[in-house]
Amino acid sequence: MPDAPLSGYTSTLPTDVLLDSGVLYIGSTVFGAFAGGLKFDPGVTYRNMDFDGKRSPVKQLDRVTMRMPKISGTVIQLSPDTATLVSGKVNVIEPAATTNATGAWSGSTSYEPKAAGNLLVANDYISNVRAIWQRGSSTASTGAYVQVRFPSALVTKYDMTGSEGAEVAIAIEIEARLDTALSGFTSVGAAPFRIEYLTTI
Amino acid sequence: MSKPRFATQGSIQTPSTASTVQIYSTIRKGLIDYVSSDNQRLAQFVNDRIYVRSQPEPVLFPYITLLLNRTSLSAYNGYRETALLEVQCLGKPESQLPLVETAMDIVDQCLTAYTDARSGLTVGRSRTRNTIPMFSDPADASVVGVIATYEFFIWPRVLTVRTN
Repeated sequence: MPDAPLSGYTSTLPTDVLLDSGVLYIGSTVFGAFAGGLKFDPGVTYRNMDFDGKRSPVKQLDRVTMRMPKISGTVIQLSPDTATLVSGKVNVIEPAATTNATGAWSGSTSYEPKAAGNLLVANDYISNVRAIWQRGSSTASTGAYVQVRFPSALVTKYDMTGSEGAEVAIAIEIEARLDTALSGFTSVGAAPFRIEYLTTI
Repeated sequence: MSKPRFATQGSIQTPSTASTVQIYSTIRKGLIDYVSSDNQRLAQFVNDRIYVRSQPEPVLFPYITLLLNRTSLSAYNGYRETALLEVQCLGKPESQLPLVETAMDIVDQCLTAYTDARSGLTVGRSRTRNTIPMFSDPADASVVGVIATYEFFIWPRVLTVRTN
């Protein structure tokens, strides 16, 4: 009788598999519609200590020297609503942008990006950016969802690309920032993100 | 006289992907049990007339037929399938077209957001849908219908059980 192929499949795959493109939340509010799914990169850099005569990376000589966690994706909506965090808000994509009638195009609501050279202040950052993916089973006792959460974050890069007959694509990159004022994140070496299993969003 | 069916009522367990017959039955039950966003069920349109491949005779309109085409690729050692589920909803006379279209709206809602991990894993997210044009002689011009094809990926027990 022929053998079945070797496989990594286990009976827990249907529960543990992560599905679909993911949804970006800010706090408890959906940020907006994305196209092409969300991507998370922990951006970790390890250094394996060097010494004379070293021939290969050595166990227990590694340390994390930098983390640059990033969530990226392409959002397809941009809202001027600054009252609440909804629908691809302008002053999230352009951090700390404020409305300013001085110098504005006549009749417009004009958003002025933060002046260069100034440090961002605490309120310029966005809180609890959450990339949430659905697991295979909505009734799993270990949680129906997995989220990558940045307690404090900043959109560090975006661009807008129009194409004929399609939605404008706004590619954004959101980087985590360590907020040492938060419980659980007070150490300078603390990772500025968490991976969390949720039973409800 | 009714055509013989390859699965008789009560002879199979759902939810299950342990056999092709049970995959059909699981999807069929999912359709029958589904309650749409405006609180409608397929039973209001087709009762339980959801058949595999073809309808029994004599048939009451409207009714729905299901037909699965499944492909497994070497990329997953043959354990994962992509499946195309063709769903036909046919009505007669022509005045049943609104019933048929609305019934298929419910099918759309159910099968484009379908996730079932109770036996293996079955996930459906996308589809194509067409309303069939009016037939001309010698076909019956009073028959109306919608044909939709839903794309799934499935880790069926009938294949993955080989790993256990």
